[in-house]
Amino acid sequence: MKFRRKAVNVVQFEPRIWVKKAVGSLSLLCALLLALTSAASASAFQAVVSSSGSFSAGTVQLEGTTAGSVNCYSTGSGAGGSVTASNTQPCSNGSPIPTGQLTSGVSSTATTTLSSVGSVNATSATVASSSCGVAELADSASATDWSGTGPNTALAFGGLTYQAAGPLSSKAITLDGSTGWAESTVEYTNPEAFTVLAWFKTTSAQGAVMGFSNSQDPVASSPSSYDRALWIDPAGKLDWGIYNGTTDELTSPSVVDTGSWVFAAASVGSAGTALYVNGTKVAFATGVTSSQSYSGWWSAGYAYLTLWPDIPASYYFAGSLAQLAVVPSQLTAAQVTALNGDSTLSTYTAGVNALSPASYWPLNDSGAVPYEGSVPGAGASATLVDASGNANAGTAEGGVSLAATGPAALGTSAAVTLNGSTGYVETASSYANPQVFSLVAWFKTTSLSGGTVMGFSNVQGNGAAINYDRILWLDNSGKLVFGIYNGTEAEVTSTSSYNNGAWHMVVAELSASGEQLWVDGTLVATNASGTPAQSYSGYWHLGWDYFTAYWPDEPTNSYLAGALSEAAVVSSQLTASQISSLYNAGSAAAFALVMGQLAPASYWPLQDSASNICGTTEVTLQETLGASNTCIYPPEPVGTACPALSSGYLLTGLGSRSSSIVATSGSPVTVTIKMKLSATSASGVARLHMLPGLAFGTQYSSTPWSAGISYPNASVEL
Amino acid sequence: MHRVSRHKGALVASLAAVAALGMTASSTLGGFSAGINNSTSTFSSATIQLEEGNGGSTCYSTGSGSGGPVTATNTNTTCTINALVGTLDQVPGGTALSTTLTFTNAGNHNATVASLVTGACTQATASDANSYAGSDTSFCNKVDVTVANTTTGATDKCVYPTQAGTCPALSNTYNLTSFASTTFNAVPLSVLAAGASATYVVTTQLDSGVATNADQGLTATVPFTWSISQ
Repeated sequence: MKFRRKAVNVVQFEPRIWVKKAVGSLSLLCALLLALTSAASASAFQAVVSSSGSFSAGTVQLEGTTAGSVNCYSTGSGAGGSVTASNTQPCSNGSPIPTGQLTSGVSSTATTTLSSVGSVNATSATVASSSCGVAELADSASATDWSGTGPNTALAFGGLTYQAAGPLSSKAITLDGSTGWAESTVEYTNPEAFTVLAWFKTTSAQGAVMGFSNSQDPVASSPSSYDRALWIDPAGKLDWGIYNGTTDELTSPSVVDTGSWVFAAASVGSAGTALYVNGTKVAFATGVTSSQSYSGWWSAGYAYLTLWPDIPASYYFAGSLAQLAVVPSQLTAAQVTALNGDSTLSTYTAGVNALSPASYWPLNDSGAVPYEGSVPGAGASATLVDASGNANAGTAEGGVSLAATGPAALGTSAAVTLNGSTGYVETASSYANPQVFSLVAWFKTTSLSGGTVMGFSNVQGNGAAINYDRILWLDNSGKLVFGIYNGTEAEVTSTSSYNNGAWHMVVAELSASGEQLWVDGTLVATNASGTPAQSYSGYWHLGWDYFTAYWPDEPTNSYLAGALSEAAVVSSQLTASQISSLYNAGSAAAFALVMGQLAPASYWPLQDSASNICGTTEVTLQETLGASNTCIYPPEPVGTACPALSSGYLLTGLGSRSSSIVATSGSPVTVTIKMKLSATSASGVARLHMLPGLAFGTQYSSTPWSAGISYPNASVEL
Repeated sequence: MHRVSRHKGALVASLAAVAALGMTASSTLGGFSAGINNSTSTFSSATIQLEEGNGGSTCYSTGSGSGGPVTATNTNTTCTINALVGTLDQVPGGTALSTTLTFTNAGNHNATVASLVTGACTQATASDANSYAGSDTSFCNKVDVTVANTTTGATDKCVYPTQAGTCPALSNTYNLTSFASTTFNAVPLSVLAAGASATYVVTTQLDSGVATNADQGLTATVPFTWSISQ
């Protein structure tokens, strides 16, 4: 018996030694050594078999191939690679939408091939229009000189491309000399006593670096007042023109169309007018100290120059521009020389910023950031798109502002802001007695008097309601409350407060098992007795709902003072995994893909532009698998091709749509997108760079496994 | 003498010694004599041998096949039976993988000790992943596992998690990380008498609640060492 106990002890003891020492891939070897050691040291008969067990996961991966055989993968720019939790990546190259300029007469077409490149075939697919706007050239300053209001974002037109090599290792835009230019969005009242700063490079004796006129779009509509222009004359020299009853013009003594970067500064003020090239004052006049008085907009790469002396054959600049700025003071020669002496981008940038510029366009833009503010000629929009495809669009009422900055967790994302007193969103469609659903929304507030995130009442507007429950609100302490009425007011309340000014994602769920409240992906409160809700038909509201004092935690203010983004009603109780996928989506595009897979009853991304710019484009989207064509937008039965383009199928209606047309191994899906300009679109939007923000995704069953690619760079000229 | 003549093959020294004894006895006692030679005496050792099978493959502790020379370690480190089945391309919440392992004491001596030692769980890129490897570094945590002792008459039915009853349903409470680097001894394992067999069912699944896209294209590996001894 002693001998036997010794054998047992050896078997028990040695593994403990091994456990401590086994590391990484040596573990198997260690285990085998253990077996050998055990047998040898036990001095007893022993038989041992040893092997390894392995468990392997598959992969769900998506490859998109756009025109020119440009490939993009859900893991990033190349095949293979690390698979992240969201498994959705933006494609830096390629475009699934037509290139060139859209016309209202003929449709343009682009095709994309979607291939399953993982080891597991997905079971469903989604296409999402996650955002829409026009490409912006950001103004890093937000001064209010000359009655300007905030950043003077510029908009790209025509043959303007991004990310060329600039001076001081910066980036630059490149203009084609025939169609490319940029207009600014902020109107200024008679800029005086200022200095224009610009870096340019050209070999063409044509075009304006900058100009100012009383037409925001001097290409489409000739201005009646125009001066403060810096251009390349037919001799290749740099001209600076100020109109003060006469055309006062300074001209550089040397040519500047040498193909090298030139640093130019031009000013007007009490010291007169001055023109500097590469830090040296090359021309000046003391008799002209002010310009013509009018309100107008700055333009870059184009200026209206008719009747000026020494005008070039083309007003379009051909070459590269970088680091444009307007400083609201007349710089001295020493200041200009100092700027010219900055040898790095950071010191130059600091030098310009130290001058408190009214506008400063670094022109290092990617061309992929949508400007969602008001666009001239596009018309204002108060419609908040329902991307579910169920036509339950929202309407911004009262103090609602569109195109605010959305949650940083979703990358470049937009939101609506609500003023807390009149602003709310009413929706179009009535729903009969929803009993199983999940409300989803990102919100941000610092309110100390509460406010509604979403609610449901029998009145479409913001009048007194007879029936009102299914309300998700913040109480006065900032705690989230979800309440239903089942004969009594049944609430579920978070223990923490969320009125801290940070973005939070809230999910409120109702089902036969009661109420659940999730915040930032975590279940924070439940109420099993909180079901069913009161039976009535009603409308969903965002940012407001009708309240009475019957609710135990009624907020002082039923209007939300804050911001909302990515709101939805899903007709199911979302699982922890689904909520996690939404919360960790990482981008607006990925969020839209995930939400699309959930087949929401209503989905308001709240990414809407303040202008109706994306309502100017007609679109259809068709998917082809084998020989079968299926129209995804407008939705048609499987096997039915898309109808002809019409004003009934606008880009604003594309939304986020699920599809059973799924690429499987060896059987890719071809996506065909047709577009044309709406016949009713204004001439002022022509040649703007529109960014439709399209994304494609696939998913395996109802698991968290999905793959997506998005095309933030995809743009088309209107 | 007659008996001596029948053993002509005996050593010469022995023959001479016996003859000398006979002469001496004859000369001294002058009577009959008798002797016993235990010429068939043997001493034989028993065998304890372990055979593992999964219905398709069989593995023996001696090495390549049934029988064969028994080395001092009597350990086969080259078994290819995959205790976790090894089927590629598992998905979250997919059909659970299950394999039945049968262990037989193919020797003629009863074992009194049985053990299962699991090594550390390691992860690597799956063989068919085409370089798509999830970024999760805790894939082993995401694989649910149970090991049931289904031997008829077994006292304890669940090896992992160790409990008297049958194994619980798969859940993330019991995963490859917590299963790994563990020694399981006679209870709940079945100690094998000579010729007796025991069966174990290993069940695994990629957990649907905790696995994310970052768990795609990964393989988890756990060494299994099964032994019986005297």
